[in-house]
Amino acid sequence: MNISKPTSLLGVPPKASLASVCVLSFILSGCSLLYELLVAQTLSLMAGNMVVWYSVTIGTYLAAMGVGAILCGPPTESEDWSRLFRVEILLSLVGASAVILLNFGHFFYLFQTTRNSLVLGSVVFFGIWFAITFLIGILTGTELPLLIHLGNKAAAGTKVTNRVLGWDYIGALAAGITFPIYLVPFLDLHTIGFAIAALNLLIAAYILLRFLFQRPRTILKLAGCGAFAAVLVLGCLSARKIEQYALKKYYYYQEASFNLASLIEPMPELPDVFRESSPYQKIDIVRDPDPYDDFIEHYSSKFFEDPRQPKNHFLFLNGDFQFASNVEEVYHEWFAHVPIIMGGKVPERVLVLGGGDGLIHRELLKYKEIKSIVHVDIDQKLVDLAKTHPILRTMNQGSFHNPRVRSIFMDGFQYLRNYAGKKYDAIYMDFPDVMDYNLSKLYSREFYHFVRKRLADDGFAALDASGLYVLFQRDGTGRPIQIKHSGTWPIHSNTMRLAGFKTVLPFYSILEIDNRFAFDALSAQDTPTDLAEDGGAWKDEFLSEFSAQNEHGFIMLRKDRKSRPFKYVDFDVHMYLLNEKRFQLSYPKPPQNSDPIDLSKVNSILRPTLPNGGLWYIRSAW
Amino acid sequence: MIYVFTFILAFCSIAYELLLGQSLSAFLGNTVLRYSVTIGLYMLSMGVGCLMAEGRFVKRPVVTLLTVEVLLTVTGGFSVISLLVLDSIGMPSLAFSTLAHSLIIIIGIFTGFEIPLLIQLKNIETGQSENSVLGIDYLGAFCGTVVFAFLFYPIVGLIPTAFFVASLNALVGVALWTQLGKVQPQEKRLAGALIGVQSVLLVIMVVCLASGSDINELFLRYYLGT
Repeated sequence: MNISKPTSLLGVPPKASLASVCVLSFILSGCSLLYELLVAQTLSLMAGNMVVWYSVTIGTYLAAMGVGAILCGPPTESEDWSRLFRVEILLSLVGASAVILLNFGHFFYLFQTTRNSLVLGSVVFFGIWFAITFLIGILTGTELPLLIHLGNKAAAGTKVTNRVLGWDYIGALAAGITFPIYLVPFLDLHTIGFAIAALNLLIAAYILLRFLFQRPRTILKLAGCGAFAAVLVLGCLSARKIEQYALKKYYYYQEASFNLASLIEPMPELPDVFRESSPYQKIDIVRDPDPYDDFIEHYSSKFFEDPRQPKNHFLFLNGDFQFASNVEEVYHEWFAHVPIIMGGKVPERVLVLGGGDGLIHRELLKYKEIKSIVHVDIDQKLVDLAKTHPILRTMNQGSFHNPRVRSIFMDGFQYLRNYAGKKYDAIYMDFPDVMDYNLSKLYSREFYHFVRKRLADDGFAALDASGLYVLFQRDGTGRPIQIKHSGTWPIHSNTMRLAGFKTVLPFYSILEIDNRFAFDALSAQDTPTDLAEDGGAWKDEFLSEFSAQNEHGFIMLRKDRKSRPFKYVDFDVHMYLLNEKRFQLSYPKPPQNSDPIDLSKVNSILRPTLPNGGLWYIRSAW
Repeated sequence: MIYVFTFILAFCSIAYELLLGQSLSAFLGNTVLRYSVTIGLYMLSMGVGCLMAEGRFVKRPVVTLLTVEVLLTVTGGFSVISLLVLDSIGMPSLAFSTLAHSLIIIIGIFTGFEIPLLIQLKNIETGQSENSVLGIDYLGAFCGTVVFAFLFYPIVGLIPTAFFVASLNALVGVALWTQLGKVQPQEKRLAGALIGVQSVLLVIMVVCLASGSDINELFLRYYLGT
């Protein structure tokens, strides 16, 4: 009988070469950092601030690796491979489920928002994040001592600690480059998690087959690995379904959460969310399944004049609300026209920064006098979608197909900084609200400085001022009196004045409450019984509330301090909503811009004061 | 004492790296890319530094550590300002990002030097080998990331933070005089000179920190071209 040397199931001797230990070290450290970057990225999409969550996730990872290295204890000759096998299986399990667990933490938070217990929701959400991050770190920390021990054993006497370590570090670098360049732009987060876990599992199976085949229950373990691999493959194949499941929860769950058990129920009766991913953002178009509320029609003639316009549709970028198709004209008509009416002159050369949905372009194109609109947007995918997606295309009326509009796809900050052409008569900035430091840059003193440089002397700049609102009371006729500019006003005004703008003028889309049609419509309804006593005052309150819901804060900027007559000029452009009366409401009271500039409020790329909300902010759609 | 040094140095190093990552992100955009690559490069260069330190450098830990701290104080303290100036003079973005990433690597390598040296100092003290220094090192790094995210960037600002961290770093460098007993007699003078240099740097960094907002304004005006 020929008794050969024991071979592994792979047909090679079960003794590791130094090379294979180094390759393992490279792959495993790469996998671990990829998990952590995945966790950081997922968290950034669910909680607001990317810089905060990237830094803190990495810090937690490093700390946990230290703990893991200490906890792991001295490597033992015989148990190294089986310990490594266990660690890899665990890592693979935790890594594959990380995004899903974070999702459920987020759903739980959304559930708690409807119960007004935000603290509990936040603690659970961030607790899940911390547990995952720390666990991955600890497991990773135990890998390295084992690998170093195995490497030294393989090299038979010569110390190769450094070589194993070196490959570990190179693996981390490879992960750091692979993640942002090859993974995030092309795959959704669930799939990335499953793919890394699959790689990790492959390593575990390799260890099992090559080094542990003589141990008991190998077949059982192998079967377990196979089953898990099947689950991962299935997960990758149904990535779109999982994504829809999570999206529906994000957009509809706050409305439809009855009890905690509904946390995991899929919501098949609700419409799918349209999602497109670009290198810069997740573009979601959501349809609200609730019946259309036609109250806006007492103010706007849009659906009456153009019945093709879509109802109940919403655009979200990275999960943040952008517009509602029912009432978007309240926003865009004020934003586009009020500065022009205020200046009394239509600009010829217009620059639009952002506004990839094309709605502000639609308004501007109504002026025959505007000769050209240069449009700078970072995200070509959004603009392509605005040209082709039926909902967006109908809403913007094909504004991107108009020959007067020319799109340039680049970062607006870089465009302004390097632009040396003819100055613009008007610059519109239509950016999403500031949720992180990436967007904060577009509201910074540096940015406004470059805006001012590229603006003609008698031109204006206008922007949708993130977080700006106004506190006011109404007089007997419903006109706002006693104005106080509030919210982010101190940040915006100090920043813009420091950037050299002499006129910083806020205006607001305020709808009148003495609207006869709306009032009649309310009167025709049955008075709610609990309000029957108050003599109809609830109607005024209802209308005030409706007006407040549609209030948006904008700022107009000019280089000079000249005061302009506050006069409505009819340029003969067609609008659904804005008229002289509403124009009069939009400039409640110009602020005094004479106080000294408060440097501590100024938003700068070197020291951001926006976003000014809590750093523990967690996203919710509504 | 060694534990305190380890904690502060780890804190400083990760803060430098985040400063660089955030500066890159502020000047060039794309936070995800900047942060991922910064962390990857940091870990790699730390490893390289660790390897380089072994051998002859570990044999003279105090002098090497003093030298490393002087270099770290200078590169870290002036890192953000140099990036701002380089970006302002219209350097092509490829050259700019190459330089910025080299700064990340340089700081990473110096940081890698620190750990074996500190472990060695601890070993001389206790007469045995232990890895508790590593644990403290990780803890310092963790605190660095938290403080950076919640305090340094949004409240202190990038430029004053660089001076603050460099001051801390220099302070540790000066405090290394407590370790002079572990220096070979023939190197005493070199060590003394290094501590002298470090003290001067400490004064410079503290002065820069005190006039942080003026320096911030000065360099920002340069960046804006006014």
